[in-house]
Amino acid sequence: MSLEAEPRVLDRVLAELEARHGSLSANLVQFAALLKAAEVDLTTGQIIAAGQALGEIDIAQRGDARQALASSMLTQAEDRAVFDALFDRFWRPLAPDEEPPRPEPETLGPGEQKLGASEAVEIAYARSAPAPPSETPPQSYSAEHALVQKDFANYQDDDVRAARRYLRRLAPKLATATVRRRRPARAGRELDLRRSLRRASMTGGEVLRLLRKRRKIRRLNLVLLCDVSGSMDVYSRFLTQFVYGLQSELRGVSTFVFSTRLFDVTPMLRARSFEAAFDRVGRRVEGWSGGTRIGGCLADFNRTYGRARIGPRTVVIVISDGWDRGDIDVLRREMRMLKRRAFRILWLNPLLGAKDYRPAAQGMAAALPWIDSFLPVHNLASLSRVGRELMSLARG
Amino acid sequence: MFDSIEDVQTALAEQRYFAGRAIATTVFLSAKLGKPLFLEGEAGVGKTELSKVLAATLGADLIRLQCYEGLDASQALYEWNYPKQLLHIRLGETDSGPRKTTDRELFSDEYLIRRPLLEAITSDGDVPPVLLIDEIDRADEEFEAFLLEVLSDFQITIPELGTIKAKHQPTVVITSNRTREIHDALKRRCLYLWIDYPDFEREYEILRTKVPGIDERLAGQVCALMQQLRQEDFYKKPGIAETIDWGAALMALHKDELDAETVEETLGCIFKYNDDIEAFREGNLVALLEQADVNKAM
Repeated sequence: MSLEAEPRVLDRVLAELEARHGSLSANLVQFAALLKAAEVDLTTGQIIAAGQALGEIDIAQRGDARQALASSMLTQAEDRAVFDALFDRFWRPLAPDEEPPRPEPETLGPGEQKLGASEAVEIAYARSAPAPPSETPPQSYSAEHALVQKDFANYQDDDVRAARRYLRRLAPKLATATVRRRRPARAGRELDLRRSLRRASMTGGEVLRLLRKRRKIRRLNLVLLCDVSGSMDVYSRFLTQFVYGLQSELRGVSTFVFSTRLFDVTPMLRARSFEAAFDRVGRRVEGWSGGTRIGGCLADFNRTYGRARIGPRTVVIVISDGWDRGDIDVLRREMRMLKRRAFRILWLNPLLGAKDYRPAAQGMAAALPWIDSFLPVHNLASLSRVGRELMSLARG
Repeated sequence: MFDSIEDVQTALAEQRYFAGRAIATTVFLSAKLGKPLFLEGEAGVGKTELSKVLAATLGADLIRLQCYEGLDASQALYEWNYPKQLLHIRLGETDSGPRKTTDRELFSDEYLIRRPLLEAITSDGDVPPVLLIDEIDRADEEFEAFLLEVLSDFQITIPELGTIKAKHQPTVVITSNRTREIHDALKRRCLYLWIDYPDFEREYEILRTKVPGIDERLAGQVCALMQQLRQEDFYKKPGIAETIDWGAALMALHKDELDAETVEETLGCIFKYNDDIEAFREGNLVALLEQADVNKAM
């Protein structure tokens, strides 16, 4: 990109577009605003690219214009359905003899069309600025101590805000406790030839000291499978928020929610704040609470995402109370399949927080043989234990 | 350079790559705007093939950087040739007693090993090379940040040599199989293109071109069945490469028609996982074949 500031480049590109196509430039800006309202993140650079792209093609060819805008304004296939719906509504055909918009199968992304593209369009059109969240005064130590032990299910609104603040502070603390990547290291395993030789040239070519370097830490991938049926919802939310705070120490996190069906919510959780992200998830995921079909959802996961999202350094975290209304044999089979691919499986169960808990739920009992760690997840204290477990896996 | 979208389509077709209008449009814009192409899609839909063909079309060299976990600057950019440097130091000693080997001698072009990124930047052919950064999802996230830096101004600073700037900006193609999400900052620098499996007509065209001499009817059956199989749940759905392999295998076996027995004998061409083969055997093959025949007729 040139040294010019982006807004000035944008102005120039839009002016050029306006000179050639009149109101098209204003429409482009409006269309970009609509996309943003539909939660497609856009940068000025992308709007510039879109403007330039329109300048290069014959805009009377509706299909070409669609593709030009899509390739310059989108960064993931999942947004394509919303994009197409907005495009159809916003860029109405110019002339009656124009061919009607037809879906181009080759560019449609996988999955998400079912998550209501038309609904997103309505929201985008109707969207007004959200009210800023209110801040509450910081809590005292003893109040916080009580909070750490309190079951998430008993939280009041104030507790939720305080807990979020607590988690925001906890995550970086856990993260920095891991060994930072030190490239040059005194006792590393590998020779650092480059630095050794540099030094040798200062001493007449004699290698007086061998410098070493340490191997980079091979970081973990994480897959979260969150049960969001009924009472599990609140635990899943806290876990997800917590894990995302640890993300800088992980290679990547994929998040799925399930109840009777499985949804990949990874792209939706990319929003900057968790409050916004969860509202977004809640709005777009159907079956957020209801019955559970763990086995079937695991099967969905294994088939659709298993190969792509699970590698030799992938830890799978399942958070569920294990009450499965589906077929237990399916659950057993799919756990075995999951175990074959994953590095570790952690199962988090809020019921484990109760002293007298035994894994009586049929599903829980069926899954147990394939689980590496079975941990509670009912309060902040248990979450931080999960965090320590994860970090020790990342270090190992 | 291309003059129009049709131009791109024709040029790619001459290299036996049958691109739909959307692919051609994006390739055209990428050339016009000088932006990298970011190709995403399932394994086996022809992402890497597109960049190879693009290089052939432009008459450019293809420089390929295959990504893997732990890929770092010394593998992607440049490295000093240490053994050669050591040798140089030793030779300096034997000439006329010990003498001081200077940095300038040791860290010159002669001792520099060019890795793909540096090679692409320093290339001085008539046509800028096509730089293929393949399967970026396999590399670590730090590498993305590093790549972002290189792609933003196409210059590289080597402390011992100074800053090297590209004479002409290479044509950059980045592919991802989506085993993890690539950071948006990188994608925003690029034109994004999702490539899906080809439809029946396109796949038929590809198969007939890649396996010359294949029986028309057989090719139709193969493609129809492949289209059908991709609708089913498999761990690894068969890609275009599988279609071509299978077609070639059937040719070698002198088959001119698909029947249940033939399919069973050649299952290894279609599926790469035993789980999938078993799942396939459990399914109703005869019904699938009939369905494929019906679809083809439509």
